[in-house]
Amino acid sequence: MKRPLYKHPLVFFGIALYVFPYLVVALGKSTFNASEFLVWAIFATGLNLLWGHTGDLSFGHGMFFGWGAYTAGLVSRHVAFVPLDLAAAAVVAMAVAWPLAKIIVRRATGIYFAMITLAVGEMFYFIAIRLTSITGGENGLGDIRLGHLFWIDLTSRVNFFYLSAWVTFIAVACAWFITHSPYGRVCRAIQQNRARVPFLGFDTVRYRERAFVMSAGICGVAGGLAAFLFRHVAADTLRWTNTGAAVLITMLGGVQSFFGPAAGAVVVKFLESTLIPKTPYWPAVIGAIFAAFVLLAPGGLAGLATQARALLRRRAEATPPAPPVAPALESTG
Amino acid sequence: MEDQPGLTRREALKRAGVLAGVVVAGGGLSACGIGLEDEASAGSGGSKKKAPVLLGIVDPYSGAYAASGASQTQGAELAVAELNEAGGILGGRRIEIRKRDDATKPDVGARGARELIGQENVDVIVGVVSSGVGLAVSEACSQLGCPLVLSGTHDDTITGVSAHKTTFRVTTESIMIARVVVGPLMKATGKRWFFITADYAYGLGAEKAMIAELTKAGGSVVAAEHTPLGTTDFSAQLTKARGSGATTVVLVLYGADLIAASKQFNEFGLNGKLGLGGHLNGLEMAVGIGPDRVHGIFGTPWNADIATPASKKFVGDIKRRTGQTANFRHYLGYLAAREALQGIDRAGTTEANAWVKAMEGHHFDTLKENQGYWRDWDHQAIHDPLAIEAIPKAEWAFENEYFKTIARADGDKVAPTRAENPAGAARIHNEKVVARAAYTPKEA
Amino acid sequence: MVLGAAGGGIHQLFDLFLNGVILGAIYVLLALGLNVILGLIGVINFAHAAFYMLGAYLTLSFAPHIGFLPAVAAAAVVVGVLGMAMEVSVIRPLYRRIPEHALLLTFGLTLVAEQAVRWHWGDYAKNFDPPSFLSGGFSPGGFTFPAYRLFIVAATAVVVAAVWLLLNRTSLGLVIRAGVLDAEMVGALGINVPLTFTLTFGLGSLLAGLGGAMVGPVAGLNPDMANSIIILAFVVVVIGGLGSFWGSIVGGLLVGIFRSVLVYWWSPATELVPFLLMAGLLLVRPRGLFGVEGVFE
Repeated sequence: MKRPLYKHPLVFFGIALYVFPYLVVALGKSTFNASEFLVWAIFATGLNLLWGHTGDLSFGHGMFFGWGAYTAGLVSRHVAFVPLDLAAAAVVAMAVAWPLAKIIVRRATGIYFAMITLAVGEMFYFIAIRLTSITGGENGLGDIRLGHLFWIDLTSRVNFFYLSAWVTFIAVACAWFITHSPYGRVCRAIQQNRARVPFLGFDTVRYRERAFVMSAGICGVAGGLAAFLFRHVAADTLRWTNTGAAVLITMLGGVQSFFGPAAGAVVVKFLESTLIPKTPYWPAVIGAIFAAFVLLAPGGLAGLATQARALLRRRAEATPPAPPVAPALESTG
Repeated sequence: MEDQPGLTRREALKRAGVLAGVVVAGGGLSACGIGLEDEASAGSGGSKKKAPVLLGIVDPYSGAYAASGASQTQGAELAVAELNEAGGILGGRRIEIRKRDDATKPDVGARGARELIGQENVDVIVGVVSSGVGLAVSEACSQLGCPLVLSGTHDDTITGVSAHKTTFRVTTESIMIARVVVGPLMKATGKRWFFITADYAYGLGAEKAMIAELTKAGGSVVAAEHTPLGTTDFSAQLTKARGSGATTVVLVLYGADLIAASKQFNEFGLNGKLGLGGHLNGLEMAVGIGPDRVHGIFGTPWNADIATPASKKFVGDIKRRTGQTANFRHYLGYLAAREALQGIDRAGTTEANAWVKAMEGHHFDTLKENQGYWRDWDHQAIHDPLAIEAIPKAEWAFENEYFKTIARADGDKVAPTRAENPAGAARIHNEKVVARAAYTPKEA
Repeated sequence: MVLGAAGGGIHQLFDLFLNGVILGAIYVLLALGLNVILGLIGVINFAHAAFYMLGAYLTLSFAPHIGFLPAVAAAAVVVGVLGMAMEVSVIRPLYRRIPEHALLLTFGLTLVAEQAVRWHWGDYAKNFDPPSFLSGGFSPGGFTFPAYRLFIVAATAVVVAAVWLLLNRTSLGLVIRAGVLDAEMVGALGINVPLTFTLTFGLGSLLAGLGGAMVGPVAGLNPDMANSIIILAFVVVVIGGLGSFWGSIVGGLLVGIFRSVLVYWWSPATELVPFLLMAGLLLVRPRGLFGVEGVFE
């Protein structure tokens, strides 16, 4: 049952990316916002590589976002070629993640893992605000310049968006191929039943470690892109509050789905930017919605969508015995 | 969830290639964005008959400096009310305010500034308390070509190595405050100083300035402890100070940090044993510490006991509007908004370049004894900083006085010279104001 | 970086040590509360820090009416009741699910709680003076220790002893300890496990509220309190061992003392200290100082 290529989900995703800014602008936001949504979509997808697909909830992956952001910002001062800067961001994030994975993954799972990763992120934050000469300390890294990408002027918001779209596409495609590879299937198995997998002959620790590192790389790319978008990197990106936002987004989008987190990013960030001018207490609204989802719809929006589709299909199949008089009254889906 | 067998590597690569090709064919970068504007549309185009001038305010309404942010905004609102009552500016236009909370965080502040510029189409922005936020907002406004008057950010780099052509700064910068405080503090308490400093732009810069003045006057630094912004417990640092042989504890802190440190200074019985001073202090902190519990000598751009008629009127107006005794944040917010808006009025347009020219060199009423002016080469407001001393409640001449002015310095004498700030001069001289995208300047 | 400094190195070190014990007392209370819940129910209550903050603010509001000490007690009790209410309404349905869900839900609730505090009590840091009968100081050898801080240590010691008695000398404590080892079996023995869970949640929350109630006069109150303390609470729990009684105490004191004493030698490290301790422990003894084998491994 081979699906024709043009129906591949990534193709739809690519088309959606192309159309995305028009939708965003039509809904009253700006192209800048559209790029911002994409940054978070990448972040959430990266986080979910470890969470939904491998079963480890990291509350500290914001640190890789931050590492990526700082790296991209610093490298861009020397090499003003954005793709290279972003690649450097990914590489550095993964390089930092590797020893951390080696230490933490073996020794912790579940909420213990969450607590430790949270603490490690905070640790990097405190280090970063001290290293003022490198990171700019509490002020952050400013003055990040956007030059040209070949002939394209990146200071134009529109051009920047399409750069972001490309980066998003590549990052998400990478995530796709990871999750749909044999490696990814083992990770899925780990997520579903960690205790059982060793009996199949796989070393769960190694698979989890690699997932940790690869997801860190994607989060690093998100951070790098953010550095160019905001032209400023704050040490706050390393903190658990930043990861917390990504966790919230991912859960709302749907932890068990692939595109869910990206969709969640758009929805949540859109909601946020609509709420901010309206009330200073906007985090309460987001928090309450999130708590409600955890309680009532843990599958997130993707889960709800699946349930809705199933419901509609069931309605369509279970046609009620049609009264011979008025077939037009049959329920439609 | 598919049931097909997993992809082999070759298959995967082939598909990736085809996919990439499809998307590239779908829209190359250079062909994209048809119909998208670069920023949100300017909204009201030319149809408006005298649309209001929009003043953007970025201030902290949450986080460590929330109280100061609220005061600054209140000051700005007073200025706007005064100007509106006098008939508005730019040919009788009313002034309206749009606000954003910067939460004492640079990235939140910068984002707020971008939203104000890009989505709310403000004509000029004022505000900000934290220097870290100020740097980020200054950068954002400069990139987008929007005029900015920073009310309360004291760090020298704002008109120094990080200066921007569109940025003007109202408050007497850190080095000016240091130069007015160090003398009186040394005279009152002694020469060996123990610094407790907030570890970010403002704190470090102010500390550096104070140490320079201290050593010039023959004093010495016993230790300099740096604490992160938001520290609530200074017991360890104060314990260390106690045994260090210092004569004076110098608190280069602000906001909630300064309140906590001051209270703990009393709690640990250090009052009377060690001298106390700092860089900045103001009523919004003093009220948090409590009457008769505030001690020491600090600096400030303005104090409520200034006896000029303009100052008295200002204090009265603030009292009426907010019920509070005016603090220097009210003053800064007021001055920043008034100057920013009158600059637009003088320029006859909200276009950034013209506004900058109208601001540079302009003399203005500082509510104090002497006038001030906007220095053209660094965009710093030159006026007289004051040294203040905490007084016990029994000596207050009016409600919540807390501090009395004990010294004043001539703004021109204590402001950094060109030789001391070559970077600022160069940046402002060389920088070109960016044309603001998707924006039509308002004319008189 | 040696012991010498103008004016008595050893003496100052002792002062810093004592100060560290005082700092640690609050960490102990917080960690104990978290561990009680974690050990029995297996749930991390992210809102623990929000309860801490609520305890502080409620004390601030109650104190002018009923006096300081009654306000502390009242605030702690109210927070405990709140914890029980939360457990019954939204945590209980999550027991069937993986523990991460409770963590996430309580995270969401923390966001709401913070905004509620901001809305009701305002954005500014609040000043809170210790009651006059506790505002003097003791000066053993020249350095003054605020009486209030010593009160915190004393109160914490009393509370910790009370919790120990509860866990080891009462039938409820017996049930809790049994439940930590095998909750299913306890239920099979006819004991009302859900009620035990609720009471335990109440106890843990009460401890958090008490910690917050006492800390107000020391550090002032502000709506950011919860965010800053949650990490420390987690780190202390990890260092001491998940679900461990003695781990909470030793871990809390250790972190407090190290933080205080390290200022003397190398102040930039003070914030890093808890994390370095945690990292070190993770490498050497992943389950924490007093961690129980098999719990969360």
